Amino acid sequence: MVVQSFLFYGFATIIVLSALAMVLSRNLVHSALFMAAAFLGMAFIYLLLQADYVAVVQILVYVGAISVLFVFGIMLTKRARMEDTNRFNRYGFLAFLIGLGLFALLARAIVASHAVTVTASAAGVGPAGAAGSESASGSAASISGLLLGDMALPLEASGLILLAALTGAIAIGKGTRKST
Amino acid sequence: MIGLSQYLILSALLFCIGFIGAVAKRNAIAVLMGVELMLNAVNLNLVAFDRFGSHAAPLGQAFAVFIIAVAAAEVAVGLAIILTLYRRRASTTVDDLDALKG
Amino acid sequence: MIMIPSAIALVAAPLAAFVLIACATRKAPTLSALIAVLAVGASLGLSIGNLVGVIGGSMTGGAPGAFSGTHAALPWLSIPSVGRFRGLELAMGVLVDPLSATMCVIVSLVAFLVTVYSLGYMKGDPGFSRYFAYLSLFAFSMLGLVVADNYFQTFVFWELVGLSSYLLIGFWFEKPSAADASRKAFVTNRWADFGFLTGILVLFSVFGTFDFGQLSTALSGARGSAMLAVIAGLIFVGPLGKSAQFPFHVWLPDAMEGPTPVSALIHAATMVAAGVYLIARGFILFASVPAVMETMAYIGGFTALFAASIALVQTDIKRILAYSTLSQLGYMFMALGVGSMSAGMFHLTTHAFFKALLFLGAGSVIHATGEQDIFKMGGLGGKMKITAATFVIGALALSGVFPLAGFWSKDDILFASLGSGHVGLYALGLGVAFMTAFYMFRLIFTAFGGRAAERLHAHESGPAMTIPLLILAALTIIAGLTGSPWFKSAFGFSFGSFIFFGEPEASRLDLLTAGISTAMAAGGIALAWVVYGRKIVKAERLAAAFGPLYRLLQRKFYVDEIYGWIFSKVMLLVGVIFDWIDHTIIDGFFDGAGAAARATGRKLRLTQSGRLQAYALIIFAAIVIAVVVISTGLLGGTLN
Repeated sequence: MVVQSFLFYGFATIIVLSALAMVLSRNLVHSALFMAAAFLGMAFIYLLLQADYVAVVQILVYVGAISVLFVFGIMLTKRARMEDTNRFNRYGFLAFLIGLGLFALLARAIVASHAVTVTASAAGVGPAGAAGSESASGSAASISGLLLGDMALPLEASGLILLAALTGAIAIGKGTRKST
Repeated sequence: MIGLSQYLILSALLFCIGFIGAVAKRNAIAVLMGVELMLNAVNLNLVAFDRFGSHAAPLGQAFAVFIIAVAAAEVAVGLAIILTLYRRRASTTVDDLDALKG
Repeated sequence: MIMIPSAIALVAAPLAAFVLIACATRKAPTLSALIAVLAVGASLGLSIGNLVGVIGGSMTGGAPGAFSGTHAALPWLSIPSVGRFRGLELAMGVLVDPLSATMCVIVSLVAFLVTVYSLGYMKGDPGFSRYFAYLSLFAFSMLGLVVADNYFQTFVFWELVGLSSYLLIGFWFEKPSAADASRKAFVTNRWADFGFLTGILVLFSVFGTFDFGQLSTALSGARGSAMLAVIAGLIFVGPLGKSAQFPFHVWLPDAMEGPTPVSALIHAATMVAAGVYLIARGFILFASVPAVMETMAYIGGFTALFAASIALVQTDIKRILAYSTLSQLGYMFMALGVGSMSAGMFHLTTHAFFKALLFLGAGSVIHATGEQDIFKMGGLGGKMKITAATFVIGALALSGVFPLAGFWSKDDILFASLGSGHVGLYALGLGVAFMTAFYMFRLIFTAFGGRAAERLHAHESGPAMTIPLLILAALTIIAGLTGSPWFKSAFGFSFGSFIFFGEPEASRLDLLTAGISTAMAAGGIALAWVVYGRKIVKAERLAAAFGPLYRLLQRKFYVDEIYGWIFSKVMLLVGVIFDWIDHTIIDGFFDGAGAAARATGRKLRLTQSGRLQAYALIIFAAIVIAVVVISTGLLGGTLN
C-alpha cells in the first residue's frame, strides 16, 4: 500500500508539474515535450489502475503518435526564433480564475462524496475487492472480447472516423493548387 | 490508501489545467495541446471509475480506448487545419481568427 | 288627408332637382332653372296642402291645440345595448304638426319666390346651373330640417344646411373675399355645432332617445336637474351659431358676399331662422331650465342692441340689412327666452316675409345700378318705382308700423317681455325699435330719395324680379293680421292659438304698448328725415361729435379683430405647444427607445468577439457560477 501511495503521488506530481510546465512555457517546443512527459506519466497511472491495455495504447498512440504529430506540426509552422511563440492571450488571468473555480467545485464535490464511495466499497460492492478483479481486469483479452463483442459497432464506427480523419487531413493539408 | 477520490481529484486538476491552456493561449497548437490534456483527464476519470466500480465487463477502459482513437483522429485533422491557416497567413495566432465577430 | 307622404315628397322634390341638375343638366342652364322652379313650386304646393290639413285637424279637435300632429318613423341604424353601454337607435322620420307645417310653407314660399327672382338676377352668370343646383340642395336641406322628428336627424340636416350655405356664400369662389367669407361661416358654425352635437349626445345618454315626441313625454314634469341644464345649455349653442347671435354673429355680415337672392333666402328668411325653429321645436327642454331661458333672453336682447348700433353707421346696403337681420333674430331669441314661443315664431314668420322683401329689393337696386354703397346711390325712388315702393313697405314693417306685419309680431314680443317681468328687456326692445326705424329710413332717404347721381343708369328690373317683390309686399301687409284679434274672430283661430307652448296665447291689441312702440318707430323715422332726408342736421357733424363711438361702431366693436387676435395668438400658440410636445416628447420618446435599443446592441455586440476562446471561457464561467448558485448548501458537506 505504501508503495502504491508513493507511486501514485510520485507520478501524479510528475504529471501535474509537466502539465503546468506545458501551459506556462513560452516556448512551443518545450510545451510539446512537456506534454509528452505528461502523457507518459498518465500511462503509469493507468498501470496503477490495473488497466494494462489502456496504458500501452496510451503510450503507443499518445506519446508515440500524437506527440510526434505535434512536433511535426510545430516544425512545419516554425519561425526563426521559437522562444516567444507560446504566449498567453488577454484572457490569461480570467481563465486562471475560472479554472481555479472549476477545480474548487469539482474537488468539493469529490471530497463531499468521498464518504459515499467509502461506505459503498466497505459494503463489498466495489473496488479493490477480489470479487471484481477477474471480470474487471484490464487485460487485452477482456477488452478485446468487449470490443469485438458487444461494442463491435462502435469499433467499426471509430474505424470509420479514423478513415474520415485520414482523408480529411490529406484533403485539408493538400491545400489549393495555388499554394505550395 | 489510494481511493477513487484521489484519482478523481487528479483528473479534475488535469482537466482544469488543460482548460486554462485551451482558453488562455495564443498559439493554435498550444490550444490543441490543452484540449488533449483535457481528454486525458477524462480518460483517467473513466478508467478510475471502471477500476473502483464493479462491472461485468471493462466498459470504462474500452471507452477510454475509443477516446484515444478519436483524439488521435482529431489531432490529425486539427493540425492539418492549423497548417493550412499557417500557409495562408503565415501566423498561428488564434487571436486573428475572429470571422465570427458580431 | 295624406300628410306624411306629402311631407316626404315635399322634401324629396328639391333633392331630386339637385341630383338632376348636378348630374344631367349642367350644360343646359334654362332647363336647370326650370327644374329647380318646378321642384320648389311642388314643395310649396304640398306644404300649403299640409298646412290646410293641419289647420283643419286642429279645428275639428275642438279645443285649440288638440291636434298635435302626425308622425312616422323608419328605423335607420340600430346598435343593441351591451352590458353597461347603451345601444344606439337612430330613426328617420317625419313630423307634421302646426309648427312644422307653418315653417314648411314659409320656407318653400320664400324659396319659390327667390328661385323665380334668381331667373332674372343671375341671368348671364356662368355658374347659372350650379346656382340652381345649390339652391335646390338648400331647399331640400331646410325642408328636411323642418320636418325632422328627432334631434339626430335635425342635426344631419342642420349640417347639410350649413354646407349649402357654404356653397352659396362662396358661389363666386374666384373672389377671395367670397371664399374667405364662406369659410368663416362654416368654421364659426362648426364651433357652435360642436356644442350642439355634444348636447344631443348627452341627451341621448340620459334619456335614451332622440325623438321629439318621446322626449316631450319624458321631460314633462322634469325640472331643473343639473344634467338637464347641461343638455339645454349645450344644445342652445347650436342655434347661437346658426342664428348668428353674439358671440357667433361674425359670419353673417361677411356672408353678404354671396348673391343677393341667396342672402334673402338663407341669411334672412330661413336658415338663420333654423336656430329659432330648433328652440321652438324643443321648447319643452329649454323651458325646463330657467337659467338657460334667461341667458337666451339676454343674449337675444344684447345681440339686438349690438347689431342695431352697428347698422347705424354702415354704408353697404346689404350690410345694413344683414345687421338688421342679426338684430331681429335677437328679438326672436328674446321672445323665446321670456317664455313666449308663439311670439318668437310669429316674428320669425313676419320677418321672413319682409326681410326677404327687403333683400330682394336691395338685389334689384344692386342689379340695376351695380352699386352697393348707399351714398353712391340717390334718387332711385323715381327711377325704380316698384322696387322703391315695396322697399318702403318692407322698411315700415321692419320698423313696426301699424298695421303691417312687423308691428304685430314686435308688439307681441314687447308685450311678452313686459308681461314676464323683464322690464329692462322691454326698454331695450323699445330702444332697438327706435334705432331700427332710424337706420332703415336713413337707407331709404339716402338711396331712394334725394337727387340722382349722374353715373347711375338705373331702370326698373324685369318681371322675374318685380313680381316676387310684389307678392312679398302683399304678404307683408296681410301676414301680420293672423296675430290680430280680428283674425281670431273671423276664422276661429289665430297664430297664437295655432302655434304655442303650454297654453294658447291670446292675441290682443294693447293700446298702451302699441302706442309706445309706434311712437318709437315714428321717432326714428323722424330723426332719419331730419338728418338724411332734409339734411337739416349734417350727418358728418353728428359723426364728428360722436367721434370715438362712431369709430367703434364702424369697426363693429372690433369683434373680428379680437377673434383674429385670439386665433393667431392663442390658438396658434396652443398649436405650437402641442407641436413641441409632439416633436420633442413623443417623437423623442420613440426615437429614444430606438436609439437606446441601438446603443444596447452596440454594447452587447462586443461580447461577440468572434474569438472562440472567449466563448469557451464564458461557458465554463457560467457553469461554475450556475452550479455554485444552485447547489449552495449541497456542497457544504451534507452529501452523504
